[in-house]
Amino acid sequence: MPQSQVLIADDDPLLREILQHKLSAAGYAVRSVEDGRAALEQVQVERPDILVLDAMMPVMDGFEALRRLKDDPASSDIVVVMLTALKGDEDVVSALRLGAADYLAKPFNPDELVARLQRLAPAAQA
Amino acid sequence: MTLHDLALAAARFSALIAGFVILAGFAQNSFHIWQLLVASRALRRQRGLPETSLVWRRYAEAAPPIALLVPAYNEELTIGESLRSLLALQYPSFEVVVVNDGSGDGTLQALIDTFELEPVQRSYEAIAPCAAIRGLYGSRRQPRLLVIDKENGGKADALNAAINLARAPIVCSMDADSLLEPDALLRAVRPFVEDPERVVAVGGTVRVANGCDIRFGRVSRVGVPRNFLALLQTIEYLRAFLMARLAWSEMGSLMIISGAFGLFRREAVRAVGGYTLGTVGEDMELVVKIHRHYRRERMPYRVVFVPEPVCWTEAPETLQILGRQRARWHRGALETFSKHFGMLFNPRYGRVGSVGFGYILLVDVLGPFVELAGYVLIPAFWLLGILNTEFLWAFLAVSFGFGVVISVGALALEETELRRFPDVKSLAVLMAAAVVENFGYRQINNVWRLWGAWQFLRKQESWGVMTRRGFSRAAA
Amino acid sequence: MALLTLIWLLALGMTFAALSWMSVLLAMRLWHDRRAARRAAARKSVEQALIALLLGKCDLQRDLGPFAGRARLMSECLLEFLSLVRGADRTLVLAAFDSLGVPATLRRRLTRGSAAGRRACIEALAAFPSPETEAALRQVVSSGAPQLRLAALKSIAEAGGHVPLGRVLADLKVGALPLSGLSGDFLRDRVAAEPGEAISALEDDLLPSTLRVLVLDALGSAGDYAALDILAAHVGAPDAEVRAAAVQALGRLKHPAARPHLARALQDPDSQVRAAAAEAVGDAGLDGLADDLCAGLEDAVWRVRFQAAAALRKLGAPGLQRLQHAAREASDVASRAASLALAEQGLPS
Repeated sequence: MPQSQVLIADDDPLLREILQHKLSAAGYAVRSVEDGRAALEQVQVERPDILVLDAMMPVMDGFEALRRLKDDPASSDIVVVMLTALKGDEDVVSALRLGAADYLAKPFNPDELVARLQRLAPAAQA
Repeated sequence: MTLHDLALAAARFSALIAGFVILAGFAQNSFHIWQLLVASRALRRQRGLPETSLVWRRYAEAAPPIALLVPAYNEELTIGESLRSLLALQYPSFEVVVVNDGSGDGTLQALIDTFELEPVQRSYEAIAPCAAIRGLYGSRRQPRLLVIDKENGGKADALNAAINLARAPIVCSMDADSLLEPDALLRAVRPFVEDPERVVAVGGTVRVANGCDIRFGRVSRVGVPRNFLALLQTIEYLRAFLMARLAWSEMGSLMIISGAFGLFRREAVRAVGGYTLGTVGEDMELVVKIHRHYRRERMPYRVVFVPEPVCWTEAPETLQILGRQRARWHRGALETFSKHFGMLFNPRYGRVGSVGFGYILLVDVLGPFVELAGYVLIPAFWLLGILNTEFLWAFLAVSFGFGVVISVGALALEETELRRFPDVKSLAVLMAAAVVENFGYRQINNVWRLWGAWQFLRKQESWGVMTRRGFSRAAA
Repeated sequence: MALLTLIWLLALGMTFAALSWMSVLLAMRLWHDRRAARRAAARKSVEQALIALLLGKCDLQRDLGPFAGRARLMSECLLEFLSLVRGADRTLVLAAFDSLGVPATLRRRLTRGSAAGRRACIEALAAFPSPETEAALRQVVSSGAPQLRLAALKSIAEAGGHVPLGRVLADLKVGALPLSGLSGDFLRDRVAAEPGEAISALEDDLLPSTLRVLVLDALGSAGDYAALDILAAHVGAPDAEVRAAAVQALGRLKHPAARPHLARALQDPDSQVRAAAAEAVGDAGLDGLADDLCAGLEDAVWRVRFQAAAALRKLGAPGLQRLQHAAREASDVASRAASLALAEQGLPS
């Protein structure tokens, strides 16, 4: 059974590592990058099923990356889950409007994230 | 009167001049050493750079919204990338107000294309004078972005337009080509959070970006410039920011906040009517106006300096461009001084009037001429045979000693408290520069200052023809 | 020639001092680079151990034990981790730190070492509520520097301890706590936890205006209707800033009984209060005051006109109708304020 691919874009190395291990343990194939531009580039190279996206990253922020991803028909159906320290209502609303499938604020519960991802795109594809 | 009397008079006169020059030099140098001590005490008090995540955790909740004011003149090629990097800054709540200052190139079109701008309207109050606004543009995709398209009017005019339209209680003035650290706003806003009642303006440390790796509008690795002039300026900037401005801020009389990066309470800018149009040193002039206003109204206020590096700027690498920049800075300082001359030694303005303006008088207004007098008179006296060469050499050695101590001291501040240069090797290069800087560079600088003074005096006579104005490079 | 020698000595002395200073700096840099590398390595090891812990592959004594005695390192790693993760994994990590005796190490560090280290330990201790922790933090509150006191009070409150609002206000008043945005934030939390105490604090006539403004603002966010009377009483306060804060708080409380007070505030002589009142009417959705807002569109001060128009927009249909009417019929300034408010929402005038 092929694994679902998850791409993590976050500038915090500790968070990347925690997610890397947690999601691998849940059965996903995981890659990670440290900013929005790198995420878009990685999407071109190897299309993930899920993108876990931080908002505040250097070079290109998460909202901009999300917008571009959704604008491009080739990548618009990638499931995007925002995971960010921004807690404002307007940030949540604008992310969901832009096409994010879900929005979690940091600090987050890793088990909850895994459960939400499983619902959006199960680790093992049918 | 005999020839002998004449020679005696000349000798007395020369001794007097020499005495004055020595005294002035000694006073200035001692003042700088004192500044060094004050700055090091201030830096020690806030020892070490807290990590960004820590600053975020402590300050994000209480951080007020900020409007970034970005003036753009003929920036077609770079504006998209600069803005993308600004929009990616780490800060909970900010807006970016870009002003297309009547660019002759396709700056506006580039903005429209990059961010899919559409015309919008926004109600605003004109609190600062500016040229006619042709239109406002916003983007559905970037709710944080507002673009103002207006007639050409220069940097102060563009900033005023942005101040008018900004809605955040704090505005951040900058240059379109300032490279900000991702956490610049978060760090620079700290004084506003810690002392919300009094802080009205915050200046940030600007550093030389030459020699650093720059990726996508930000400094990704700090390095030492390869260009010799830029290397000297690196030391100069450390001295100006880490030593001088920090010390001025401690004394409560910081009068310059770099145009490349500064935060102001919008209410304070409103109280003084924004930037003054038609000045060269509008950044310094604004801060002086703010001091003037709050001192006159006897309201408690603070103008604070943040030593942590928040902004990087490309320093000129040729003598010609550097000279033009320095002449302009000097002209700006003289303009501000003459415009607010009434503050000099006026007890109502406290330390700003006495120490701050007194320093400008001695060092900026008179300094270049005193130095020039030295260079002219010393050879003249020598020719006349009334110069004691032994003393001359001794005094030159002392002034060199002072210079090296001060330059090394500034570098030591950066090294012990901030430590942003990557390795021992770059540190060694900078130290060599701190020594070399004292031979020649100082003298060239004086020539530029004199040139600036000359421009200032001529400008007083005739206001030159108005031409389309672009923004000259960052004023530090 | 003694003077000449003296001058030369001064010059050479300074040059020599500068040169030796430089050499010391270089040497210190070498030493520091090594220390920083060691510290980064230690931090990395702790982080790796935490991740191993999450995956159930961590041998506590072997992986974390060697670092358990380093208070600052442990508290910084913990704070970093807690800013990212909550839930079962958080509990797991806290239990591990507890079993290694980290809380006791942190408590001992509260009275020793650099201020930055102390502050990190204070903040980290919030995650380990216990009588000992509370006692140690209270010790800081009674003797530490203002910044550290504030951090300690925050940690006590976060750990479930009692921090009486009256005490916080008294400390702020005498400067034992810094009057900063951070303490304002803390005050807001305390008021939300105990609105009753805030109300009695406001009844004290000796409370300074700056603090009064903060408490009023916090009460508005706390959303306790019991505050209605005291807020309304402050709409008549002598200090304009206090009035404005009371009016804003009434707006956030969204209680219809605020109507007569907001109507009065719309007529206030101070423009700051009028603007706040207009905003509050919009926040509270009091469409009965729509006509009063229309009068605000004619105000001499831009800020009031702007807030009045924005508030009308927020009131929905009754407000929009009035805005459209004003855009067509009203005087120049009012019509401009109204049509811009409509245009900002992409609505026709």
